[in-house]
Amino acid sequence: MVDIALTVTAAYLAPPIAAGVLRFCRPGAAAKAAEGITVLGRYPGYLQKAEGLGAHRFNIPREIWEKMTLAERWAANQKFLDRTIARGDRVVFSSPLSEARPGSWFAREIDYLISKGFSPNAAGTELVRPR
Amino acid sequence: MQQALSWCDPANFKVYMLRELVNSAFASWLATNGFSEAEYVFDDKAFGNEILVYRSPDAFMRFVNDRGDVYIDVSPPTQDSPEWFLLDNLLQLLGYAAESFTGGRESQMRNVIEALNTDFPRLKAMLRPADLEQTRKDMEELCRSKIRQMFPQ
Repeated sequence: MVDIALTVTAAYLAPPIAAGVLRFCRPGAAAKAAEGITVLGRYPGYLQKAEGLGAHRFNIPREIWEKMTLAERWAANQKFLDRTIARGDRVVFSSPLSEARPGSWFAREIDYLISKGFSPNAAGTELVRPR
Repeated sequence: MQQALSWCDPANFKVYMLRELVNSAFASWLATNGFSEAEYVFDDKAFGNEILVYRSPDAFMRFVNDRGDVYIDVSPPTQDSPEWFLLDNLLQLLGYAAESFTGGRESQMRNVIEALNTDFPRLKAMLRPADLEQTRKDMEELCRSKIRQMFPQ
């Protein structure tokens, strides 16, 4: 598995975090066929599905996550979603949309992409890009 | 004073919170209904998330701490490949309002325990092999229904 090492700018992270490195995981070379997919959902399903598909997913080690404020955590999550949009990825769910509780991280990710023009498909298994 | 934790309260995320949460709210119910702890996972590589699994002969129950969001899943007692259903949704299929499982932690916990005390036999029945396919179909319809509510257009 190959990770993208993203040095986070000080623009939205406090110094201890800005000096560190966050890792947004992406597929390894063996999973080229599945590039262009981002998986969202509840833990642990979204990590397992992304691993199986060789897809992108948001993941940060506890050691770094613990040092981040809530605003920094959401900024990192948003950055990941912005990259998903910029790459033109398909956005697939590991958990049904109906399992996104209001206020949860999963729901916030969906709300953010909806605010960017995405909409769910009829089965609630993917978010469809704006045309 | 202990900080209140909501089921969806990322601001109050802390590592190793799940066992404390389960013990404070569910230990008695789990023991009474024949559940025993089967697995605990602490994921240092993924946010410090946690999974705590209990098993009984009739059902498995999984508590998940996902970055401070706490979920309860229930599965038929299939050792090799559990099929996890979100407890909130199973209870909604039994007629409980979705609003019963939102709000502050205390009221959510109380409502879930009350629902389980009343309807755990019906919930277990939904997971029996003979009824499982229907439960899957009902879940899919619940999902479609929620999507229509969330996105009316």
